[in-house]
Amino acid sequence: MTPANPPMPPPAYRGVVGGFQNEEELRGASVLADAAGLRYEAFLPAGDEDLLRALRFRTEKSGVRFWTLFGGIGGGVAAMALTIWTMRNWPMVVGGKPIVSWPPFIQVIFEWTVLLASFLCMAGFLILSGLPNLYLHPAYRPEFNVDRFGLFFPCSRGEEALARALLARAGAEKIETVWDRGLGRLAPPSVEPPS
Amino acid sequence: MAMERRDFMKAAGIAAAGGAVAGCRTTGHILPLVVPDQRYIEGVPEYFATVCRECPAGCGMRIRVNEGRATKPEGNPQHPVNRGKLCMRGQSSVQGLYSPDRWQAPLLRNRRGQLEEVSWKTALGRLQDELARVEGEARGADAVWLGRLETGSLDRLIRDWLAAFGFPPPLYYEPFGYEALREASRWAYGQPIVPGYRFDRARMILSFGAEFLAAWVSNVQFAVDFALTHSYGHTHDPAYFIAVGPRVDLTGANADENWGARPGAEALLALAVAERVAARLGRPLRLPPGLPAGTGLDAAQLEQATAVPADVVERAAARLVERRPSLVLGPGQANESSAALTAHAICHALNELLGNVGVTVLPGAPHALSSAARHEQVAAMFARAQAGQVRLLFLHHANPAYDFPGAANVEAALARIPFIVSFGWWPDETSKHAHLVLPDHYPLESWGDYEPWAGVTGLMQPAMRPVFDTRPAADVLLWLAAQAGAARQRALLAPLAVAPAPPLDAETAPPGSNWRQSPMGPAPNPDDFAPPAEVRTFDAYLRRRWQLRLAPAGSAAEQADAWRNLLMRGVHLEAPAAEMVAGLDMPERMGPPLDTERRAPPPPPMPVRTPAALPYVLPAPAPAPPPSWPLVAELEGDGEYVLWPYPTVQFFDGRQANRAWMQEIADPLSKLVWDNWVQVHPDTGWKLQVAEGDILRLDSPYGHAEFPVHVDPYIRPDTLAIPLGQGHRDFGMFASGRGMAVEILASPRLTPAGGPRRLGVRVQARHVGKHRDLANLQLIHWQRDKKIALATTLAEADTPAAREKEVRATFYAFHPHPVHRWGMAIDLSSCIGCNACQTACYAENNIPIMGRSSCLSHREMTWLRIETYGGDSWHPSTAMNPDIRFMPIPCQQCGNAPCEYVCPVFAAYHTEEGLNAQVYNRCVGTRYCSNNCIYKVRRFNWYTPQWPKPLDQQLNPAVTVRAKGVMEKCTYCVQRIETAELAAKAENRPIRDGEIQTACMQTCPTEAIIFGDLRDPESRVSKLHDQYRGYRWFAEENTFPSITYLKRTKYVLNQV
Amino acid sequence: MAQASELREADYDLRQTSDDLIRPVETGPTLRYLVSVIFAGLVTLIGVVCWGRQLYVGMGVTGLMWPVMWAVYITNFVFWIGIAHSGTLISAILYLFRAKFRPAFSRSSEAMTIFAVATAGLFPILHLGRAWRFYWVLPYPNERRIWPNFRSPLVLDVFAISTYLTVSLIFWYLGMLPDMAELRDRSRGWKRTLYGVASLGWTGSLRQLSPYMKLYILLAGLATPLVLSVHTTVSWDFSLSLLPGWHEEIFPPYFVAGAIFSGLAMVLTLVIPLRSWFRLKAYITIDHLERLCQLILLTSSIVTFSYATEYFIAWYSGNTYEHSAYWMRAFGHYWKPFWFMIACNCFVPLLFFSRRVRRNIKGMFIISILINVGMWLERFIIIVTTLAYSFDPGSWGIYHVQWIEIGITAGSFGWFMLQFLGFVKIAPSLPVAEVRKDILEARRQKKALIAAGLLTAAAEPPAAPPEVPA
Repeated sequence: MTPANPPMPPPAYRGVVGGFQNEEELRGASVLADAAGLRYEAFLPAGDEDLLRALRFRTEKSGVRFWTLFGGIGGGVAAMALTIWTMRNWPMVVGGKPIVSWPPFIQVIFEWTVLLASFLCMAGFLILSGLPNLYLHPAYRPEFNVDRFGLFFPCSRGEEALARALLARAGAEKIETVWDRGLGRLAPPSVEPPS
Repeated sequence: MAMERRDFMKAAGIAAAGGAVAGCRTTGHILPLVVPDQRYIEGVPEYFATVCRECPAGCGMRIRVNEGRATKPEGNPQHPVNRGKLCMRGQSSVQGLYSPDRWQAPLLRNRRGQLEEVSWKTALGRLQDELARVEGEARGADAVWLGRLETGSLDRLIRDWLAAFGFPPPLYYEPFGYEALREASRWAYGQPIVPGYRFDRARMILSFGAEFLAAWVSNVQFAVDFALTHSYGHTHDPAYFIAVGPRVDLTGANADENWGARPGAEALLALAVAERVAARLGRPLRLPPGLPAGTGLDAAQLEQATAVPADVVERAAARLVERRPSLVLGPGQANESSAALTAHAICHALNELLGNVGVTVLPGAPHALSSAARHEQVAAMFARAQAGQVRLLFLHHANPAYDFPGAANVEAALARIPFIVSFGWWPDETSKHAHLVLPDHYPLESWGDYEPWAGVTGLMQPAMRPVFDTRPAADVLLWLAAQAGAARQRALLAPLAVAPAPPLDAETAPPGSNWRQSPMGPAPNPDDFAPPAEVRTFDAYLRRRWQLRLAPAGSAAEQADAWRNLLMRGVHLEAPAAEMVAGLDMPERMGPPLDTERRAPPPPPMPVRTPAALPYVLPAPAPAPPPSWPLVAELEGDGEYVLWPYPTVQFFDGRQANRAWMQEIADPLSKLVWDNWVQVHPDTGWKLQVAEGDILRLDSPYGHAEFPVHVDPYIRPDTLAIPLGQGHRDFGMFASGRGMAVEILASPRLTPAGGPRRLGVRVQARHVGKHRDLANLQLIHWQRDKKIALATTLAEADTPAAREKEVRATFYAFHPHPVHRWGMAIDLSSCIGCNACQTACYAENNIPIMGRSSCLSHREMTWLRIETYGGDSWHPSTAMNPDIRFMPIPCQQCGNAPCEYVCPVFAAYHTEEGLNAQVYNRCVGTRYCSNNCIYKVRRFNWYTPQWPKPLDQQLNPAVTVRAKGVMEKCTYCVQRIETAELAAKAENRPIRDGEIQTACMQTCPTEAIIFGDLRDPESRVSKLHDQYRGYRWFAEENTFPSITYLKRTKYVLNQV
Repeated sequence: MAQASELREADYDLRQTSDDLIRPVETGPTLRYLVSVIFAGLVTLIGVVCWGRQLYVGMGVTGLMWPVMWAVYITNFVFWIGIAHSGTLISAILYLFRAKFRPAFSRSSEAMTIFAVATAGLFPILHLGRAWRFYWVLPYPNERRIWPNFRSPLVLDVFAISTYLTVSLIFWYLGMLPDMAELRDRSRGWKRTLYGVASLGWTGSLRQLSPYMKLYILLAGLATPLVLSVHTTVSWDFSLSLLPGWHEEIFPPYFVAGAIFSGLAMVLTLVIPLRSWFRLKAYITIDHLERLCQLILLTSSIVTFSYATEYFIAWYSGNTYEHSAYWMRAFGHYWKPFWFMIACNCFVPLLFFSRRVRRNIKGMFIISILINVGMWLERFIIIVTTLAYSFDPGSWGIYHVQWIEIGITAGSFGWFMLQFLGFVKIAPSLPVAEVRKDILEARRQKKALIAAGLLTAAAEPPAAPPEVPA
């Protein structure tokens, strides 16, 4: 580190994270955490509905569906407006058909319905999930995306002992305190406390 | 229409620039004579009346001139020969004018033996030297003028000039010289003439091979007259037409009955018919001495000799007796054989026996062809040349080196002539031997007059400035005479001092009156005569001559006025024309008559008359004693097949072969383009083991040649037919190398009448294992069970039985046409398949030429095609009675056009006036419209269209030149519609029915195509739409086309 | 009950699986791979040169003619669009149906979809007479005040294909997020930056996963009707016309079935070398391939039924134009490709009734190639014979393929190959996260079965996935 660099901000305490080898242990930890009244965030190596449900993931309240619905309606209306308005704006008789010969327009309306629905579906997902966000969660560890189930307790220092105990009880390996060192984007996540 | 205006301006700009460049070469303005300068408006085309000189028929033409460029020939409606119509050769005259192969300046053969460009001064000086040398050698008698047929003033000038220099009279060489017909006329009418014919009066036509719809005498005139008498659209009592020949040609395809007679048996058949007619009438047949009054054959023998059943002959005789007046025609060009003279004589006799002479056959109104030299005379000249006896040859648009049989070895004879002067337009097989080339003005750049029928004279005036540095041959003659001294000049200008007999009103002149003293006029008294000093050029000569003739006693102003009126009219009629023009009301009439309009009954026979004096100088009579009268043509050689060279409507004798249009527009029957071929019957093809395109080597006693095979059932199995006019060796970029010429195989021997023996050899044929793909633009000639070109019987034509069922159902309400809905009616009973409409479309709409390789892959660009179908069904047994139907197919301008809605960019759309418009600029080239067009009338620009310079000057500035990658199509000549609408608007009146003429309709000789407003219930096209025999093609597809086809009528459907 | 073969996955080690699946991306190119890339590049170059010549000279360099104004290019277009169909079908529909064998094919078939659409999309432009004006079919405000014609099937095509491409891209890309994150975590340097940006910051947290799962199922739901609509729209190019042989109500289902058929065959063609080249046989097992073969058998019978229906209706309609169009299709100038097509599409797939053929890698590879050829010919036959033998016999004409068209067609295959070869070196050919999910699920099921006493636990889980004999 050269003197020219600005001083590093002091690392901020974030909580405790632990990794599990299998999902049963994770589920157990989540049950314990619920009982203890601790909030938690989990990192899963695969999006498994059963597991999500077990972690009390309430699928029925996702906002993505509403985004999609609005996108679909908007797309349909836009396509209807586009076809009808442009045909009236440039009125040409072709094939003996009237200016607004709607049957073929249905196809355009359908396509735009799907298109805008997909766009807004994506937008809804990105907004709700806080993506894109190139600052990775400080509790994230690469193995959470391979073969470990991560459970992170965003707790205060006072609760740390409880959280560690809980994790250890549930069978977590590598229980670590999470420090947010404000490292740059895509930095290798670190969970070790500053020396 | 904003786009079209823009493109019009672009094209007009290019056109103006082109015109300016072309105009730089010469001085003098040609417009003032007809239209004063102040009336000339940029962008508005001018029309000049002139004469079509593409063949000896001499139709009247009106040339449209845009900004000093001749762009479109049309028929002159006032001219009685063609009455506003023009054939495809006439339409192509502009392509001759702008031919890239034209000589652009005088040429002189240099020491190395090559033609080298020189100045006019040098060239004329050289010619003067040569004339002086000939004079010095006292060999004036060995100077020969070999030119195409000329009449009127130019004929007079040439004759006077040759006489003044002590040269023999000119040889007017026409490859189609009608020697047999003329010789037979000498026996029948006392003069060796081609008599006039009035097909429109005949109620029955029997032709032993005359190709009168394609290339015989005056094909446009005959097509018009034939339609008047034979088309159900024009008459409800159609004439019955029997064609005789071993092959169904364009004329035979329009016949009600075809006799697949043995080639060469025409005379025998004619005699068989004649003896039966004589027996029925109970009157003797007047035949030339030496000819038996009957064949002396029983029915079986007759059938054996002619391949025509005796009962068929009997039936024809009965019909001839029943349906009078009739017209019997002798052999045509294809069967000009050793027996053709006999056949013509018998036909003359038959006409006389049936009372046709004076009604349908008019010896009193002979054709200009009467004055053409006989083939024999030209052959004799070449024999003299071969012997070194021709010192100087003037070539004037004649090409015997191509036309003569190869065995006659004309090129060797030409090579022995010390000096050949060519007043040609372009290099061809003959003029390539010239030592001096003095390029002539093209007829469209020339002054002149032409008298196709006695008493009918068409006036020629230049439609534009010369394209190249050319001079009229007549000007050269006048100049040479002036240079050669006052005496010669005075002799040349003698006719200008003479006041000819006053012109007679055609209506009031007594028939057959002695209308002129002599063709040369009375001999002038040289002492009275002072040559007008200003007459240095032929236009002055012509003007002077006609002014004197029109108003001999008038003041200068009156004379000028008369001359001007004549030029504008374009035609001058005198007494002998009365018979030819009586009862013709074509110029005023528009389209075929409707149900209510019945044809006037035929006139009663008139007394037989022969002309007291001919307007033409007839060639020197044959020195031979009265010929023998063979009944069967002599065929040389021991081959298995008879060689049948036949003329086509597009190539005539071959002089039009170097026209891209003629090459690219499909042959009416075979639909082949850009090639020469031999037509072979399928059975013969099977026997010879050849298929379409295989090369057949033909061996005649006089040579051998190879032709690709076209397999076609409409020919006798023992006959091989090859079109004339193709296979040029050295005739420009479009004609050269199109296979071999049939003349290579022809016999050099002469017929008893002194004509060429076109039908005279038998050939051996064998497959040589080679192949050449033929570009065929219509592969299938069988309708299967599809309803395309429909026919009905005469009995049912005007009854509801002829009506086609038509279901009209649509999801949407039919959209309205608020003002007009343009439509057409096309009468299949009138269409003779002559391709004139197609050529007119090419000329009017700037349709590019694609060439052979593109045509091989079906990439022709024609907007209007003519499909030829062999009746409802096709079976070999009906092959010689093929029930051929010609179907002209322009865009159908559908009301519910399938092409329009599939275009992603609205390039195709429907105008308010019912046109299926195509906006070329907007087209991106998906070609979907063409795919979805059920009539397949759309064409795609596969390449950037190209016009070899200066052919681009022919382009019509009112029509966009389309770019590469763009779809194009017929739009009913929308530019003409626009012009007429603007004119009507300017005059604040509605458009008159018939005011708008599309290019195809304008030129159709049979008026098979009628254009008009379907919204107007009184228009002719609306009424035709309502006829029972009208049907809309593929109407069941709900395209609601705006063209109604009228069913062809047959005496009895599907059989003779 | 789950099959034992599926439960085998329960014994897979997760890290080993990741390593196996990501190895092709991380290792350097093999000689075989490099040769393939160079070959594909050269073939693509040939296509580009041919197109250049076509642009310069005009459409005359092709064999197109009057009346056959569409031929090889539109055949290629429909062919590639058809190929594009199975990708999203496998991915989306199998996802909706929770099909077990989905992950074996989903990533590569989605990639195939994208690349096939990217290839197919070239052809409508390439076949234009004035290709440089292709954007005139788009609805954008312009100074000419001209809008496209929304009645034209070609404009509908533009909408259908662009939507399909966009939605497929979204579906494909968002499906790759976890894998991109994994690649990010495994790589260093610029690759890490690249994959990091591509992964959008994915961590697999509950916050991200919960909308993600919703998004995925919604996109699958949106893409499914889209799959059906796109080929329906492409079939309208033909069925909205008037021509006998094109104007048919059966075309939409017939085209969709044919597209799925050809797409499945193309997946087979791609996946068989893929699993062998990159040692993925444990993840794309013979059982997975067998499932694909069964689907091919199903779609082949639908296609055969459609052919039969076409001919039956042509006969039953009593319409003379239909009669002759179908007669000439089977017995006209193009009878050879026609009968070859029938053999490839209707009879060759019947071999899959045999289990031995279904489990024979070489056999199914050859059959998949034959089906690809057959389906290409099907489009060729539909387009060319219909145009060559339409209403008026006088306008019939025979089309012959020219070298330029062959070059451009080959170029399109090269271009497709090039894209696919690039893809396998950029992203894992199988969705790692989904494979993981299946392994987890299999483990759960296995545990449940052991708990229920229906299965005895293995002595010890194998350290590496067992090599499955090919």
